[in-house]
Amino acid sequence: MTLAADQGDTPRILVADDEQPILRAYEQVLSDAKDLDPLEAELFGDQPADSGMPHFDVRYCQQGEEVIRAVEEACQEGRPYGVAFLDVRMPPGVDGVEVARQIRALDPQINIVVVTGYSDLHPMEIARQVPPAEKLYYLAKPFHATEVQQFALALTSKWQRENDFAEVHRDLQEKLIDLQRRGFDRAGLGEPAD
Amino acid sequence: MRLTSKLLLAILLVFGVSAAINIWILDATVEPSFAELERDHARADGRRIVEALQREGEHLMFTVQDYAFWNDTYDYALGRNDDYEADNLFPDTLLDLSTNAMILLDRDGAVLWRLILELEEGNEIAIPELPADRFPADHPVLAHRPDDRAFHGLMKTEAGLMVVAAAPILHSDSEGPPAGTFVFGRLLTADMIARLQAQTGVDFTLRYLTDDQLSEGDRTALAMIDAESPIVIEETSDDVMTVRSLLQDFEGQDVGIVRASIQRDITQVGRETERTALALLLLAALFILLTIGIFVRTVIIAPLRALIDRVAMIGASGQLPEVVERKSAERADELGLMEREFDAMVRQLKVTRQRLMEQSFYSGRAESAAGVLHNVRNALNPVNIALWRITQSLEQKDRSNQARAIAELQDEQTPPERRAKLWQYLERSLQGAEKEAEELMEDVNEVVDQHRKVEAILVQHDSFSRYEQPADNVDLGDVIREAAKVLSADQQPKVKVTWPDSLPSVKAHSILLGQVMANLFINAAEAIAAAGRHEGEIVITCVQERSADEPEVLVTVADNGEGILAERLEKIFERGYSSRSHKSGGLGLHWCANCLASMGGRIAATSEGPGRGAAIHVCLPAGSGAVNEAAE
Repeated sequence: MTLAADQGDTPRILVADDEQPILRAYEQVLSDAKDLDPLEAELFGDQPADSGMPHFDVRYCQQGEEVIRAVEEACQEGRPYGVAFLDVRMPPGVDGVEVARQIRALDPQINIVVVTGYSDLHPMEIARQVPPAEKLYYLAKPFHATEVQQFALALTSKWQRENDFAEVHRDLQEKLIDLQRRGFDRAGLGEPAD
Repeated sequence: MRLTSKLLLAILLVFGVSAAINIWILDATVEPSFAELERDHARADGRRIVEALQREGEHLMFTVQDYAFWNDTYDYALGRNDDYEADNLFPDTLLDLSTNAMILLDRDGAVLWRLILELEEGNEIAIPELPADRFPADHPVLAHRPDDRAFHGLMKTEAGLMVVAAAPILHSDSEGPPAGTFVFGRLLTADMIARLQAQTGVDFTLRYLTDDQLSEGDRTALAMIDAESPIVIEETSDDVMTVRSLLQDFEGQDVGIVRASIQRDITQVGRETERTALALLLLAALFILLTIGIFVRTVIIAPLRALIDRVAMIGASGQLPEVVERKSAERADELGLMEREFDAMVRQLKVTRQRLMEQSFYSGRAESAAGVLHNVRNALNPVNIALWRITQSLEQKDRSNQARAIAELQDEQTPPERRAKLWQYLERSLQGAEKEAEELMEDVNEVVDQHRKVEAILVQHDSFSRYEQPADNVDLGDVIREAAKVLSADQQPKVKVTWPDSLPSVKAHSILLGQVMANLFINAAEAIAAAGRHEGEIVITCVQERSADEPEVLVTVADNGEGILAERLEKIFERGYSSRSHKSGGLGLHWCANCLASMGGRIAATSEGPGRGAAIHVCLPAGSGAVNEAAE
């Protein structure tokens, strides 16, 4: 059971690929802008340039089993991942689609981006095996930096919104139950309590 | 052929057993019956002889009775008739009666009258056993003559065996007492025997018991004859049966033997029939053996042999031949069915084998291609990112702050603490720029490294894929036939492809060669279309060159299309060359050239010029062993 993350927490991203150079590439893309030199700020009173990339808490994995364990831990700690970038093939371990299936079973909210340079499984097939469709995304290798950045940004924001909405929904439910218990007459709603 | 031998042996066995059973049945049942039948006939014959003799006696007896039971004779015997002799007793009487002896005796046995003749000349003869003056009382005739009737019997005499009939002389009414004895006697002469032989139809002889001419058989028979079996039959030989009967005189003494040799016709016929039947059986057997032998050989064995040869050839060469029209496959019987099923199986096998080869080739290719793609994509990924970083860092940086710093330092109005800080800032900026340059260098190196990686992947794939495709013995006919299917029947223009009936085998990779040929056909079709023709022809010829250490096969694909300009003949094999860039029906001649080179072959083009068609010459190493079409 995933607990809703608090607002203001750093969004968490999970990245998985069996090749080191690609993990390095991810790291270069997802890192936020360098802070402005405080000296510069003092001398010229500039605001740090806004690169637009927020700070992400990124975890890098090289094998499928590692990914599954990471998601498990995150769920138990109450700090689940918002987005996972999964390579389809990560030999010698279990393959990406199976990993996706297991992650989905652990965390229904996480957004999964399937990253592939291997043309073996049709995207529709992957979507069929790892529902729901609105939380499954597809990225082709070699990927562009801007593609990864946009996915990270958009999906973490979406994830945050969904969590917020879920929380509001829960509050309203509680209030409704409360009201029903206390009776509509006293609440002044004019409807008799059944 | 062993199958035929088995069949013929079986038939021979059947006939053999049949013949054996036949013979056994004949020997066990038919022949004995025949023999029994024969014996019955012989016995009958024997009886006939005895009866004939018996009748002779009876005959004579009736005659003597006529004379003896007569008053005239009665009176004469008593001495009271003087005319009797003259009236009755003369030689003619005997001659008429065919009787040899006529004797009248009185009551005491005295001879009243006596006449004995031989019947040929009519001369008198003497027979001691019939005395001239008086018959003693113990004379056989007198001893055995009854008083009231006549009797007859045989008597042995010096002149031969005699049939004797005697009667008491009585009144005409047969009343007695006897006045005397009337005796007639007939010799069994050769003439009489001949007559009896004719009468009975049996060739018999008479032998006295005292005869020294009695044979061994005679003596044996004598021992066997008794009251129960008066006739004895001896199977003297396969052809002759001897019947013997004993003759007794009227004293009951054995006097002679009647012997007849009878042809064993019945058993002879039986044996001949048996032999004929067996001969016919043998003939039938031989005929059937011959017919079945020929039939089996031509109708069953020959087609079977042909099929076996075909199967053996497939087994030896590993090649499946094209199915050929054969009369034997059109038969309505089981062999025809077997041939048709075999052809269907070969066709199926061929298709399956081809598909399997193609599938394994393409899947192998696909797998390695997918693997290569994956690896290349992975290798390019960091390049993407590195290039992005490079572009990022090379983008116009905002250097306005640095310009401001320099400007302020140049301004003498700037306070010293601010001045110091500005210097520090500029220093840090420079360091930052150096660091950026280092990072740029790293990124460029990354690009170079990944580029090398990609190259290595491709090189490895190249050598790997070449290893995957071994050259094999390939039937050119099959390859061309398959490749020709790329020209569909209803395409425009209509292109006809012809090739020789018998093509040698080459050492190549069948699928790749097929693709090369298909490419050449597509090119030719396009050339024909470009020449403005509505129909064209592709003629394939083949020459085997046995010279040099390695024999080669030269295949020429000639079309009557638009032809090739002389200066273009070599360029057409360059990469990326296409005279028809808007059409890309084939893989390209460059690919074909590389492909053939990898198989140890060569390719060249000739043309007599524009509008005169073109010919592509493909040279390949010859295959080992001949792959012929099924001989039928």
